[in-house]
Amino acid sequence: MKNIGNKIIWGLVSLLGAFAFSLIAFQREESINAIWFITAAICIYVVAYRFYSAWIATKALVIDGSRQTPAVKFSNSRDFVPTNKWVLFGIHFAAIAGPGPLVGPTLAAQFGYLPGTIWILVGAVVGGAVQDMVILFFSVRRNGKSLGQMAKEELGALAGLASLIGTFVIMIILIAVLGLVVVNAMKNSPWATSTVVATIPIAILVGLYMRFIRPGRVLEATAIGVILLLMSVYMGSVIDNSESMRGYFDHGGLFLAWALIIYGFVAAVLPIWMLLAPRDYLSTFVKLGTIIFLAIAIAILQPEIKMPAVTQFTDGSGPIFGGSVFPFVFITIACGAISGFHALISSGTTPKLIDNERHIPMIGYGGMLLESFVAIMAMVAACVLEPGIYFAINSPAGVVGTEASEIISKINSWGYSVTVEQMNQLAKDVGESTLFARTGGAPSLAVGMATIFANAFGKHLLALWYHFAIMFEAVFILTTLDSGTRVGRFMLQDMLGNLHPKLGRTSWLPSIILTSFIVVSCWGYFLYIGVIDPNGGVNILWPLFGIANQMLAAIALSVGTAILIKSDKINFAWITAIPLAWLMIITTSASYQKIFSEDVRIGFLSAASAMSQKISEGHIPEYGIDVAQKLIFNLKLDAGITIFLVIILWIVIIDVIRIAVKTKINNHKRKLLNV
Amino acid sequence: MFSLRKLWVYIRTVSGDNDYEVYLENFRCCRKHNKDYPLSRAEYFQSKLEGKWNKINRCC
Repeated sequence: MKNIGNKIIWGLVSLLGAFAFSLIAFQREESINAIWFITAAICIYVVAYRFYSAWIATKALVIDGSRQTPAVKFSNSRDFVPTNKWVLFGIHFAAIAGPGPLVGPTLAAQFGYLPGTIWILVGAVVGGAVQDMVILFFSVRRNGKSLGQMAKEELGALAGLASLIGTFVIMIILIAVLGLVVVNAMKNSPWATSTVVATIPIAILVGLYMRFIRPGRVLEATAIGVILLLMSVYMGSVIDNSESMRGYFDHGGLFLAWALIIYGFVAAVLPIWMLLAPRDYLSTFVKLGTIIFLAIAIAILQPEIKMPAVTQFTDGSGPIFGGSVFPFVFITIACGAISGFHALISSGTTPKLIDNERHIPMIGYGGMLLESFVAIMAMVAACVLEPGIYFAINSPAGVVGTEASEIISKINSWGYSVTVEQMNQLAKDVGESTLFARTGGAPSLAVGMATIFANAFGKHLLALWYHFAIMFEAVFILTTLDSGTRVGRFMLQDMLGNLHPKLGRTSWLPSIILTSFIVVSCWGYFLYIGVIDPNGGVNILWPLFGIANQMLAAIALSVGTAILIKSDKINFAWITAIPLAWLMIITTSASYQKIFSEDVRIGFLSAASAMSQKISEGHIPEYGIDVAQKLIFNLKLDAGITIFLVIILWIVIIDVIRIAVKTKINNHKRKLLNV
Repeated sequence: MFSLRKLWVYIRTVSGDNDYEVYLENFRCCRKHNKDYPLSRAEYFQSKLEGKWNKINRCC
């Protein structure tokens, strides 16, 4: 009887999910309510979790609850600690959820809501969550080994090296692009800049409290910090209204980029307790609180989606970034659907904390589903804006021009209505001087979130909500920047230690300074170029980050596939091989287009030669030649990096094919011998 | 059954607020640490931070 009841309930959930999804996919004439996005997502997630993850766990991985995990075997109350599954779920989710699932869907909304939403849902269920769970399981079975170690052991030394280099490249590009997002959000905005700057002394104060006043009292210190952060949002408006003070925080992109580069170096050299750790506590709480708050606000408000399901920019002519919907929607949305970076967490801290193998589906698969849900909310926040406003905020000056009337007539010519007065009023309402060409995704996401919050909890507070959203995005982007620079430094010290042992010592100050300087210089270079690029920089950096991240995901799925094949589970290898094949297709295709496309908004090399031609024909004024030459060099460098990433990807894939063929031949031989 | 007390313990555990108490409990019962005396709260917190931030533990 109970069994029949269960079947009926799951049947109803599946039907509701299918109905909600079909509404999203096929409704064209009338606008659609955001609640259907939430309904479709939740139904699809719970059905996938209940059936697909359980099937993988029992049939393919054969999870064994009686087997000792590394956390139990090596319990030392430091690295290996058996942890309650709900607690570990919270720790794991806090580790994997960064700014990626917020920025990617916001940018991909230029194709309309449908392509991105389908990819977020399908990609997470079939790809991202499977990757996170499978890698977590294999790491647990290998005493908590890292992805790099597993790649080396299962695929060979070259694959191990590839994952190490891939991780480093991602780190550099990721920090640069996130830095650019923050710079674009703070550009000529005294309110946003002063709020973001205030997070630094607040974090230091929290650090001092936890170090000297009340050591280790995380919640007390965080509560004080969060209150101060909220006060800093309000104080930002006071600074913005003060003629004498606003000048200190009113800066252009270049100044802010240099400030961020210097900050990044100082943060990497300072002791962890002073800035990095306290900022992380603050950002984690603000992040989780805001995400819960946003979900509640969407549920209460049930806003209408204003963006069309599919825009004309699926053909590749989009203003935010060049490239057609295939393959670029899959590259733009990485973290909300599938992210190779997660495999580093699933083979890093988490496997050493798993108390029982039975917890693996919930933490690995379930954690990724929640991350995907964050991406769905970001998509909703971007799509509740009028499309004209969305494009006016996100389109770079290089595409739509610099004059308000010029921008508006361009956007109107695409069929999206927006007026100069509307944009000026919106800027005034959110407390900004202008919202035109605020590229990077953060400002439009902040406007979307602020609109939802303001409509649900108080319309007169739109400016405060907007700057709260900017602070929310900036605070954990800066945490990623700090921790990424630090990890990059460790990786570099590890490599340099082979040249000279002292350089490998993580506590030796000259080595700390040298390696921090190198890492900061690497991402600082890309950030600088992004800022001087008239097309906004995101156009180049975000796809590069997407390609690198998907390449790392392909390495992780290759490791999973190779282990399944080697352990006589070739019949189950499709679980990881299908998402791997898809990543292989999209990454290779996107890379090919980014390198060789003749469209100057897509191809690095054609953009470089078009710019060279402009210089030689005298179309670029004398003062712009220096910048143009830097951009040409950067485009060629980006092409080189992309080629390098594709080569790494194919080396790993060929390795997997080699292992599959070898195993097949061995199995065949074994069968013949048995006969 | 949901209870505020359980929620509070959960928040303390996820945030690491009660890590030191757990460490002391573990120290007393398991004695795996090869030390006569447990670390002070400040020492423990410092060593925990060092361990936490010497690897990738924040994603994109």
